[in-house]
Parts: sequence; C-alpha cells; structure tokens
Amino acid sequence: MIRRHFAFLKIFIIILFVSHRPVQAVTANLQFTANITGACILTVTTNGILAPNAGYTVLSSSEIGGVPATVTALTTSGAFAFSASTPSSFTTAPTGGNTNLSFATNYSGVGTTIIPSTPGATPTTLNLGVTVITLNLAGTKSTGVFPAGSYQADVTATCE
Amino acid sequence: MKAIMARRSIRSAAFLAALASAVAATPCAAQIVGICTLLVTSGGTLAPNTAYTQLSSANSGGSPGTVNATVIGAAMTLQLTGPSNFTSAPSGGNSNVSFATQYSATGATVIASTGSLAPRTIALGLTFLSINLTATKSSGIFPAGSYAADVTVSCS
Repeated sequence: MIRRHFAFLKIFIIILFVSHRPVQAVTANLQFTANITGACILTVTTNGILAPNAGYTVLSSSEIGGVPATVTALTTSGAFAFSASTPSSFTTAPTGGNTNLSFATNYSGVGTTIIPSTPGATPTTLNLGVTVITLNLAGTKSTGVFPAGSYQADVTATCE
Repeated sequence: MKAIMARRSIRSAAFLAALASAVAATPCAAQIVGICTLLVTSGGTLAPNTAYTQLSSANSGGSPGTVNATVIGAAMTLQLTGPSNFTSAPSGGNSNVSFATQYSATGATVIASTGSLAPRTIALGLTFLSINLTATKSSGIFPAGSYAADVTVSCS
C-alpha cells in the first residue's frame, strides 16, 4: 500500500513540475569546395572579312571594307600563350585565286593582357583573365590580281 | 500483534503524510530539454560559370550541401551563417569576392528557398536542409586552384 503511494507520488511530481528549457547551441560546419583547373578558353566573337586593295593584289581585313576577326581568350592561370596560324592557301577560291599567293597574320590584344600588333606565329603569354584579341589576315599575290569570286581562309587561334 | 500492526500503520500514515507535505512544499525543476542534432550528410561542391566570375553550388557541375536536423523535446531555432571569405584559395581567389547563402528545408519543417539567414524555428522531428553557396567576383575571374568555404549551421 505504501509502495503504491510512493509510486503515485513520483509520477505526480514529474507531471507537476516539468518545464521547458532551451539547450546549448549545436553547430555544424558545412564545407563547400571547388577545384578550378588551369584553362584557356577561346571564343570566336567575330569572323573576319577580307577586302581588296585598289590594285586587287591584296585581300586583307585591314583594307577599307575589311573587318578583323575577334577572339576572346579567358585564362584561369598565367601559364598560357596565344598564337595564330597563317594559312597557306584559301580553302575556297575561284580558279587562279590561290596562285602566287602568300599570307600574313597578325594580332593585337586588349584586356588583362595588352598585346601590340604581333605576327601570328609569335606566341604571347596571357595574363590571368579575359583578353580580347583582334586578328588580321592578308593574302598577297606576287603576280597577277585576285579574280572575281568568293574566297575563304581559316586562321587557327591557339592558346597553350 | 494487533498493537504492533496498529503502530506500524500509524507510523506509515504519519510518514506518508510528512512526505506528501514535503513534496507539496518543495519546488521541483524537472525540465523538458530541447535537443537538436545536426548531421552533415554531404558537403557542397562549387562550380564556375562560363565566365569564371562566379563559383556556385547551383551552377552546372556544382552540388548543394545537405544537413539533417533532428529536433526532440521542444522546437528549436535554426540559424545559418555564410562565409565572408574562402578558408583556402589560390592567390587572388579571395579578392573582390562576395558570398550569398541560400537554403531550403523539407521534412518536419518546410522552408521555401530563401536567402534570408535570420533565425528560423524548426519543429520537432527530422528536417532536411539543402544549402547553396555562391561566390561572386565583382572584378576579375577565379584563378585556377582549390577553394574551400564554410557555412555554419547552428541549432539552439
């Protein structure tokens, strides 16, 4: 009988005097990680247009009516150098368009790397960030003139 | 024998009365304690945007961090604190950088995606937190290298 009363009292005490109490803060650190690899990303923003000189012996993006090509180089490290190839012939040309022909490519840059006009084959180390590169191409005939027709030549920009 | 039983009965009754009296007069501080446990189930992964001006777990290739919050006893308060800089970064990685933390919750407590880091009450039970972190450069790009940043989740 007495034991039963004690048991009742214990329950009674617990029920009567419970209350809420906040606890100490618990924290967790959630880590976010990234690994960016060294990269150079080239994006052709504008294709070039060649225009003839008055004597029709030169087709160049620097002539009046011509438009240079533009390439954006984005580098995530300073270990990359830019250069541009010089074509040996037009990929598309009318008959006689590719005879007695030589090409010259040059480029310049603005942005994180300032590049003065530089021959295409000469590499330029790029600084980290975005460099906007302007490319000019000129095809010159040592003999004769460029006949009427459509011409196309490709310059390969390289970042390595 | 009857006298002995009577004395025992009287002593027991007196003891019980005294005990009841003591209990009634004694303030007791038994408490329900709110308990919160936080379990980081996956760390986040940041990926660059195409311009390399942003590193975010919401970008393609990134993944949010996830935390499970278990609350028992009483509702608790949850709070997130975003980083002010990377804890590790290559040279130049921490310059011109600002951070934004965004999170959402499902489970016992549902929270729509929010960038507000004000304290929030979370209910009893298991709540699943999904946390995104974005670092943005106001100038320049994120250079190559390894980056780490912490978001602190607090439950109190």
